[in-house]
Amino acid sequence: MDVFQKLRILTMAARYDVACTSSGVTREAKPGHLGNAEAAGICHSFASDGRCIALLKVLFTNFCIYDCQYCVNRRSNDVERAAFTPEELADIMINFYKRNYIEGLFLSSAIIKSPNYTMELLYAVLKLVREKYKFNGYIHVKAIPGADPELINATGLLADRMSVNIELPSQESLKLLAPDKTKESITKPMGLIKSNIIKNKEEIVLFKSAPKYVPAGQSTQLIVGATKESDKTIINLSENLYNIYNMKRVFYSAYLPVSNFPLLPQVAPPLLREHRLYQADWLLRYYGFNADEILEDGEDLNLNMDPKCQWALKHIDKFPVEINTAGYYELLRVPGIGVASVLKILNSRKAHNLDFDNLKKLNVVLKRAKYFITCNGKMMGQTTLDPETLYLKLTENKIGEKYEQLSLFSLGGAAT
Amino acid sequence: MTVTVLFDGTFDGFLTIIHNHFYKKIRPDYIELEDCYQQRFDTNYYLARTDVDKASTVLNAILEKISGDMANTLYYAFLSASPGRFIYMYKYVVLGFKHGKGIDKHLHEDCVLNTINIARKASRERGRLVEFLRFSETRTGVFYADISPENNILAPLADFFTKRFMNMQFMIHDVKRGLVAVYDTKECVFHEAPDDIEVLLSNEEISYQKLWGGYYETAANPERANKKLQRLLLPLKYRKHMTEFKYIDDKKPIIKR
Ligand code: SF4
Repeated sequence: MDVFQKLRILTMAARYDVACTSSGVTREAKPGHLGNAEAAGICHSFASDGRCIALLKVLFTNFCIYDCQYCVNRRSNDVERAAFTPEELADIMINFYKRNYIEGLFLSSAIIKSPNYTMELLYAVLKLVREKYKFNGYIHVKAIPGADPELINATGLLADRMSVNIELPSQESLKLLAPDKTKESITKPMGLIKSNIIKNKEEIVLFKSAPKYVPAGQSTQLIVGATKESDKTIINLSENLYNIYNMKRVFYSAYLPVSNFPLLPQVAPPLLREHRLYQADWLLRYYGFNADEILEDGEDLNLNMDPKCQWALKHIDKFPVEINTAGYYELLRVPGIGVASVLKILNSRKAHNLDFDNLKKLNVVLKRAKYFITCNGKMMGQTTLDPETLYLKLTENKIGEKYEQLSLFSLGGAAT
Repeated sequence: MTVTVLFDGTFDGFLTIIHNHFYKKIRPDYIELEDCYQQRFDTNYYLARTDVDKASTVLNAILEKISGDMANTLYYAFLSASPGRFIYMYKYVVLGFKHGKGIDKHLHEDCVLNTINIARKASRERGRLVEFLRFSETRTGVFYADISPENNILAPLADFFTKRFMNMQFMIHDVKRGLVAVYDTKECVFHEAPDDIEVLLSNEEISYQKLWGGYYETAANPERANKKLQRLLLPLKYRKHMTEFKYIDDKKPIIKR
């Protein structure tokens, strides 16, 4: 099989993995080396589904000894299979990078022969790329559940980010659909990566020359809508992953039906649900919310409006917020106002008092915010703070926003 | 009578105008290029003779008394293709010396808002080309890229790539302005593009282009096709220089003459 075919098969197989961001580390160029890394993240192209192409995202192989029901690569599925050699993959990746097609590599794999065997192959790719080609840019690699700690460790030293996919939101679902995997086989490497990162930070303090262990941190991915967990369960889980495992990102992927397994739904859950989860996740990470504020136990996110609007309507007594005096977190909780707008407001109100025209000039979007704020004590037009009226206003004419445009992440099954 | 200042279109020339504002009290209502302006009778013309020493005095004063951010904003506004930018930039600097560091908060002043906006546009275009520029390997081993940006951002763009590809010889060709940046792994020089640039691709180049074109197509999920979003994020005007679109358009790799 030639490398064109391999690339096609193994790209297709990796399509279901969402974590394609290169952000999180800045690394200056080094003489004699190839490349650098930019914390802001760079998208090099956009595919016809609107998704960002930042990294060469492939599986090393899609031969798998396991049989996870939600995954296209499962042993029992009849699909074309392929495997790169470490040399082939390293060569493609480096040549793509030199042409400015990509920011780096996102390497995952199905499990070929054994977890250790697979992990060794991934290690071999990274070693070639880093040592032979002196690549100094971004690499994200999957830790294979069940591989030896030493191997995970050695690979982590060559990567910027490492991740283990949690796949399903609960242990019961895992038992049902991924019988070869246990919760422990997933959480063990997560814990390992976390403690290695901490240990490494201490080493770096002691010895400046200590090599950096996954400087961009770890991330994980979970499939939404293959099993019955509520959004609250999922958001709780994410909160724990952020708090306990110091996870940098949790990615959500709406399940795409890939098998007729009776326990799996045959229709895809709405993409909008995935999008709402990303918004709720955003509230956890950047807006100072906790899971219990966003949802009650067993509750799902409202598909008709974003979670911040939902929260605001439930806490209407906290509004309106005065633009000229409110604090950072108070402003952040206003529907429709994001971090960038808050910073602009804080900055420019130091120089002079702000009215609605000033806000427009600053490009602060008032579509939703106008119902929740005052400028110098005045609201914009005739607005009321009655939750029911507001609910109608915020959902009519899709003011909620066009979710399609925002859903940059999408996918179906998983790999490993 | 209004005052029109003419200058040579260089950044130093622009800074000289600022110097003249403070030391010669020449306060323009219009700023135009000396080799292309409309003769009018209702205005007094002054020629600002570019003076490198005056320019560096002004630049240092901006860095010390106002901010590095302002210097950066001015640089990008200068590279911008927006007509009429010089007068906004001029007023912005003069106001900057009045307000000092906090000048960028005065977004209610047109000159501040406009200068910042056009600078942002130019710098955003540079950012997009950092992403969308594509190199092809030529037979001599030099990597070649062509671009046609709206703003004159070749210099800061080349700067990004000299850092990233320190050990790689490359040439970036602004076909719209007929300029090239040539980097030989030691320094990057800019000059006018010769008329007869001929790009002969290496043999491997064609297979990598094919691999990339194939990768680009397979990476998309056909069930979630969203060309509208794609067009928003990757405007058509960039595509004519991008390997993956050339590949998709005619199903065979591009072979430049
Ligand atoms: S999820 Fe991973 S281990 Fe399970 S079948 Fe898919 S590739 Fe194999």
